[in-house]
Amino acid sequence: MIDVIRYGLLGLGLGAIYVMLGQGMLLIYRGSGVINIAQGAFAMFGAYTYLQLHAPESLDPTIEPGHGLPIWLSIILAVVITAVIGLIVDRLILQKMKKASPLTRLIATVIVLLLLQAIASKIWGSTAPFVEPIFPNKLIDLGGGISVPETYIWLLAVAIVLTVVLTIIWRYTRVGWVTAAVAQNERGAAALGISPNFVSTMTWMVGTGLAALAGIFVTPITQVSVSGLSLLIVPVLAALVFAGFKNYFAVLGAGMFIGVVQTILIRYNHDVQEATGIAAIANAFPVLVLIIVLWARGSALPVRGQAGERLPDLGNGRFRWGIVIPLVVILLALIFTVFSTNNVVLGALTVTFALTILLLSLIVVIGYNGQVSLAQYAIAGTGGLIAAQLTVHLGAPFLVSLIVGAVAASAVGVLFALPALRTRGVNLAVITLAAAWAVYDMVFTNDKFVGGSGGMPVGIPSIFGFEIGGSAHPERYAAFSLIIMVLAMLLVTNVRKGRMGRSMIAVRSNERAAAASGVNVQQTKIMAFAISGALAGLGGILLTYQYELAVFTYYDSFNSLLAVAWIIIGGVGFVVGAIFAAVGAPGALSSLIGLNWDGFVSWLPLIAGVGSLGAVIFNPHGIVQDLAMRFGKLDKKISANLPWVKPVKQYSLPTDAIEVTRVEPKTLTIDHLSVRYGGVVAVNDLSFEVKPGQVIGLIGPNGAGKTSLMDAVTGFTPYSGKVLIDGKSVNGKQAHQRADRGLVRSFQGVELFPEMTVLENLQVPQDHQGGFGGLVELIKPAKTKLHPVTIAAVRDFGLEDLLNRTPDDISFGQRRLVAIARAVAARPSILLLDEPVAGLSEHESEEFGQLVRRLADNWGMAILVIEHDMNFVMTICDEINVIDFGTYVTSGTPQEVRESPAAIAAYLGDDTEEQGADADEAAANESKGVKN
Amino acid sequence: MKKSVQRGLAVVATVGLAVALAACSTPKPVATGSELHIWTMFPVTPMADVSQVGAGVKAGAAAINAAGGLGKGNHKIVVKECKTDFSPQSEIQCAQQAADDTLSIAFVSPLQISGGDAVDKVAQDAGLPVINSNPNTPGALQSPVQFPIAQDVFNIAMCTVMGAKATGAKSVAYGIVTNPGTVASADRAAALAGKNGVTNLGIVQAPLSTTDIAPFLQQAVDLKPELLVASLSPMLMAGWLSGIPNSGYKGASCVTDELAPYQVLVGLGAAAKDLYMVGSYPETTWDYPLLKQFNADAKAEAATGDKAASTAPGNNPQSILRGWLGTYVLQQAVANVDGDLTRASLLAALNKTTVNFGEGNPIVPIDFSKPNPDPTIARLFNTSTILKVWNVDTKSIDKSKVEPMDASQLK
Repeated sequence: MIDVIRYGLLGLGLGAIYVMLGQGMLLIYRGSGVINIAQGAFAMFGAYTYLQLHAPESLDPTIEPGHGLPIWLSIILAVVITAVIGLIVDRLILQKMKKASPLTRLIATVIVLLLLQAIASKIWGSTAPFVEPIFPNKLIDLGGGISVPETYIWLLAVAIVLTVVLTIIWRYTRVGWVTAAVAQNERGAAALGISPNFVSTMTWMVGTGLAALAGIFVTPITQVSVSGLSLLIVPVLAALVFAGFKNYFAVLGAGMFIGVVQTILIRYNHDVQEATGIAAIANAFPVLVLIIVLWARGSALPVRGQAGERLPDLGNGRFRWGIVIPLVVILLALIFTVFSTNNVVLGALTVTFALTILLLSLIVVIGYNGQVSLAQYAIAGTGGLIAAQLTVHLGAPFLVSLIVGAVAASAVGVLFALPALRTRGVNLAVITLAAAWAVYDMVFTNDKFVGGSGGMPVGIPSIFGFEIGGSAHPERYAAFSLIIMVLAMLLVTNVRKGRMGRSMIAVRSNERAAAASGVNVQQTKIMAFAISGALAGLGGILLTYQYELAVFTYYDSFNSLLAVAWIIIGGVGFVVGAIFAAVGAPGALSSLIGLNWDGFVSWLPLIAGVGSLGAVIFNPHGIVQDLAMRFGKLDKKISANLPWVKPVKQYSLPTDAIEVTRVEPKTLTIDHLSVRYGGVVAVNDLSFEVKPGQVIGLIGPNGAGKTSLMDAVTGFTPYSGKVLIDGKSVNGKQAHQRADRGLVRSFQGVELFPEMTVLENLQVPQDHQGGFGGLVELIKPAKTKLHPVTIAAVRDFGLEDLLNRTPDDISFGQRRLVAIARAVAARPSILLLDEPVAGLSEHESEEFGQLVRRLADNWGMAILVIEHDMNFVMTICDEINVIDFGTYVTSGTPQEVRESPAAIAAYLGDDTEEQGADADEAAANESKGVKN
Repeated sequence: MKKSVQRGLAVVATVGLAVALAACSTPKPVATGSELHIWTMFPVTPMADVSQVGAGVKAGAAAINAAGGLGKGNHKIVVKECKTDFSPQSEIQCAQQAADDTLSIAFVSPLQISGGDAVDKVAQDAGLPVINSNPNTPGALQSPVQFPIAQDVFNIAMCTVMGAKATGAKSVAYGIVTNPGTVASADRAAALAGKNGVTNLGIVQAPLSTTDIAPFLQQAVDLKPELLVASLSPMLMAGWLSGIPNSGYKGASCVTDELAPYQVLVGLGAAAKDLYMVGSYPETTWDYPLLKQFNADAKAEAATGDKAASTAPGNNPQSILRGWLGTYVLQQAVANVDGDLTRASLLAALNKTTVNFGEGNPIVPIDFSKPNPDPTIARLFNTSTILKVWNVDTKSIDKSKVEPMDASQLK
């Protein structure tokens, strides 16, 4: 028990560090919406600046002591200088990236971290200076064998004071209100005259200034080094997630909790290692906290997701055989001739090919599926380690180890997918980064798993007796890696083009709309991580077997972060982006520059950092996308002159007649359904039916509960009561399962999948009905085929000429039609339409009404329509239900509802009075002989 | 003045003038033979920059060239520096480049950290002699092409024996950073402890990603050792040493000399008492003929603008010495080369060379032709270790009263 107390007290120091860094990060996040991964680097820079001002002799022994500024002045100046750097970062980098995705902006802060480290190293070198304590530092004896350094108490006090000050400012000052307004609703705040840019800059300055203060106070304990404080980002992020990014006191509590418990666990690291062989168990604690918190707090319900948020563009998945094959042939020729004796170039090529495969895994999971995984290096290393273990301990042949290792990595990828089922975005990024961090310390530096200092003797890989080892035959291994890379690229393009890719992109764009289209969101995410894991593992295995001895210190969490940075720069939506990104990685082709230019290497981090920032600011969709735009015409010209390159065939609708059979008739029964949001009753005990061939309207004022009812019926919100399809309850079924049973809806906000063409949007609902076809398509893509129902919808809705265009390229009215056609493409027996004619002209509404009527009359669908356009509702509906405040008001035919006093009072009143006034005026004018 | 005196003075003046003219006109010896390359390798990253190793190699090479070149062919030596980023790939790439360079005859003082035995494999396959490598892998100790002359920078084995001898400690605890190399080194140290009457109380491991080393230090202190031995990355070593005064630990500490951060020791003042260091080389400030030569060469290299060659105490001069000693050994080995100087002839020469480090030098001569009594090591190398002690008053590293020990003295 005494040990727990003693180490708990030591944990005050670590906890205080987490809190001080975390508060600044929270402030920056609230003011600018950016997670500042570089917060630790700002702390480091502030500490070095303080030392330079106060004790320059600690950095340069040729300077005599006594030439520094007083402590208080040095602290102020260091904080101000760091804050100015924060201003520069915000103004010159992040504000130029307003339209980029949050992930891209997060990556920009990773590059800022690298830049700050490179600059600090250039200015102050890497020799460790001595940092004198600022606070009194004697050991305080608390009795009973328990003591604590006084500095830790001071740090805790600073953390508490900081929390109180920030809270007071946030809650009780105009500055705080303004920042809170921007944090909650940037556009709304701007409409009130608050400048979000100004708030962003201000919070960056204060946040980075706080980082400098943290660095200055903390480095007497940790001492200062260029990379030391940067490594803290993982537990600090864990504290922020644990606190829910809510308020400063929550961060104080979370940070202290994680710091104290982690330090207590450090006490037992050795005991656990002795018992299990697993080292650094304390590093698993932030991960454990994250898993528990996010699982408990997370929601499995699909969300609107990143509606309105700009995600990186995607490629179209075309695998250009006519260009790839000649390039591969040329490369192979070079490998076996020009480079055949140049081991350095061959080694760099192999690393480039292997890393390309690793980065392709990010294209699948981030680019296509929108799930941010910062653990790819950990997964790659795991694949390599498992394969190596098979070879070393079981004597497995190389190919067997390769396949089993990739499959095992796929399984590890699925493990990483589990948090993704209940969390997304930044939270998912944090948990995967934390897991990678823990795995590195627990596994990849643990000699129990990775062998001794010499590495694991994986030997010379061979394929059916033909040796291809990178030491003895580097040209063969390079060629083998190239072929595997091309196959991996082919697989990824097949994913993009096939149903799996469409499901992934649908989930990335809009989980809710995807689920409503029948996509199993959870299964899709798992599949994305599984494929991604296999690819990462493949890349890791190729790196592992490159030489006869394998080491695993390469697979640290920082490289995982860098991998995401590279692929964002290259283009996370484009397969070729992986090649661009891989070229710049350590050990890859770009390292040849450093090897041959002596002075270059020490400047490389700085040059790479500046170059990367430029790429990310000016090409938020990646270099490849920019190149594709700039050289698109040249590409077409070249392709036209290559006789073996066939032009891409656009899909065109079959011309033969389609006989549309009626859909399977099903009745929707809503039985005493209620929806509650906390204490608010949104829907109160509603019951009605929608039969095949009927169009039932649901009307009521705004806030009446119409959309809540629709969300409940389609499985997007919890409810009480029953929803039955043909008498069978679908309670407990998820949205995609209800879609499978023929219950499909559209959304108020249209919510198409913007990265896909109209054709692909229409294919999504019919994809899920194909069984294991998605897996087969990884190898052999299926030809584009639309179901007769879909074809009929396209013809009926006049969408033939729009099939190969994206939603951004068509009018709003056309988008509405596509949204309905997409719902119809799911072959629903029951169709729910949420304000389908909002924003359409009168003529368009009329035409649309006729369409809906045909769906009911000719196809036999049961249709429920929510609308505010009374002309539309009155014209097409067989029956109308009126609700208000979630409660049933009345129902009947359109005429009955029009004349119902209850309906008039609840909703129709203004229209009826206007119609009555018009009628009175007409009667008065008639009596006066005035014509209307 | 008498004429005899005038004549005498004239003779003296003439002779003096003749001598002066001879000195001016005699051309300085230069390397006149063909160019040969020697490669070296060290990490250069924002986290750690050990350019001092390269500076030392260049200092030694420049001195060789200035003295007429290398070997009978008076070859001009050009140093090729390869800078790594701590990754295994970069180290292996460096080794490959050295191996692929047709003009390269040796890999001198390469500082390898993470490449494992793959680096040695490249050198072996190319028949490239590796002189004064950092023997942190089994391959480096067993390879037919490796000729280490000093301990691994993370080797704390002799801290246990010599440190205990200096302080009278009967028990030891270790604080190490977790990676396979340091773990193996600590295990060896712990085994030595038992054989030399010192009780090993435990090995505390800190992950590489550690920021606050204090809890790990406390764990080690809680074991109540009489001697605390640390083998940590330079980033963590500073925190460890500065944390000791407040940890409640009152005993002596021992680290390897190349990892002891000078600025931190100066800053700690009196709190840095009872700090011992082990190393294979003497301090560059000690008075030995070999070191005089080294300091002169380093100064000349620094005068060319190479700041990494400065032997100021804050610039880790031990690393410069490490680099320089590689060229020293090279020169001695080349004297035994028969015929043209090639990789193969150099390798053969190394295998029959006894390297002598000069009079009075605490580094004992190394006879590369003799097998090592330890069957896990191919040949003899400098297993002699010097125990040093930090002088809080003079802020310098002094020689300890404990005489240098050779590993063969240990059971």
